[in-house]
Amino acid sequence: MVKLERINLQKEGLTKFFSPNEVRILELLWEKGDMTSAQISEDLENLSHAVVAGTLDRLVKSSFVERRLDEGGPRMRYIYSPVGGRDEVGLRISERVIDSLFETFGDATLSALGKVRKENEVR
Amino acid sequence: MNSIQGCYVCLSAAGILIPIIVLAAVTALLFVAFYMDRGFKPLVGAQVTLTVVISSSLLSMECYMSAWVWGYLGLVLAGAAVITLLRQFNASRLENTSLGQFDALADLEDEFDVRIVVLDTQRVRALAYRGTVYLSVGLLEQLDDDQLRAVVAHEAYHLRTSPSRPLSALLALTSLTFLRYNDEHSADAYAAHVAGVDAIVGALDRLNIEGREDRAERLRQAL
Ligand SMILES: [Zn+2]
Repeated sequence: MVKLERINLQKEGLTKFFSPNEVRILELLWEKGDMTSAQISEDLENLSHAVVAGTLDRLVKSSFVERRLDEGGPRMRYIYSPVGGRDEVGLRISERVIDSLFETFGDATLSALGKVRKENEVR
Repeated sequence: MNSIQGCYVCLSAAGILIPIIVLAAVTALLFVAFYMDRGFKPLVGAQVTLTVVISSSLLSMECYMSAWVWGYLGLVLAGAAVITLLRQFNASRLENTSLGQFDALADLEDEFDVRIVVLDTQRVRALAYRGTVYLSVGLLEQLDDDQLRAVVAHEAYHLRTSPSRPLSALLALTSLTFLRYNDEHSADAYAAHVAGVDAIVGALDRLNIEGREDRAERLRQAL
């Protein structure tokens, strides 16, 4: 789950909710599907393999990315894939944030949602 | 200054001044040996003698320094408690990230007579603990057969020869040196003996292990 305390609304795009490296890996996986950590490292040239490894572990732990063990090759390795696309990630984060808002502000949150909806319909 | 004088008077009154000085000298020699070769044996020796020096000095100081005795005991007990807790924490964390044993590693298990458990992380991890070598998937992914054999040999050496970590931590505490042994060079030497220098150096390199240049250098010098 996205940690609410890590959300920073001043940042751009997905980095509001993820670290820049997490975003790069997520976008890569959305684009290419199944990948090994070696392939990911190769695509993100300026990141060290250690940084890629740590970021992948974190993304798996927060279940935005999943991995399975591939034992077919000469050595076992992980194959990574994203859990749902951009829309699904958006849905999960929105739910989490709205839940927290509703818990704190109750009906005010719902009114705000209604208002946002109306404004976006007009546009 | 005053407390050093007090120490001196107390120890000579108790009749253990000379043995303490001798032991302190032995400790100093062992420390020199430790700084020369970095092996764990002189360090453990120095920590044992230093522990004896400290505890017998404290015990003989009936005069007025009993606060020190309690302070020392408190430190050692608190430290031992922390070590135990950390140990349990580490054990349960290993348990949680374990993927179990794999057939693909059975040959290595037989060769080195250890259990090899795979850890569920992309990070590079290799450690030896209670008769088991733990290797992460992130490590396995990166090594060729010879390099992997060298890493298992290195960890098997720790299991067989290195003093147990809790014991070494406790000695670091009772001797008030707060130094831990570093057995990496001997483990590397064993790995080089079993799998070849290129294999262990290659593994250190491939895994980007901190201090790898220094370790490789020492192996080449020993050739
Ligand atoms: Zn080691």
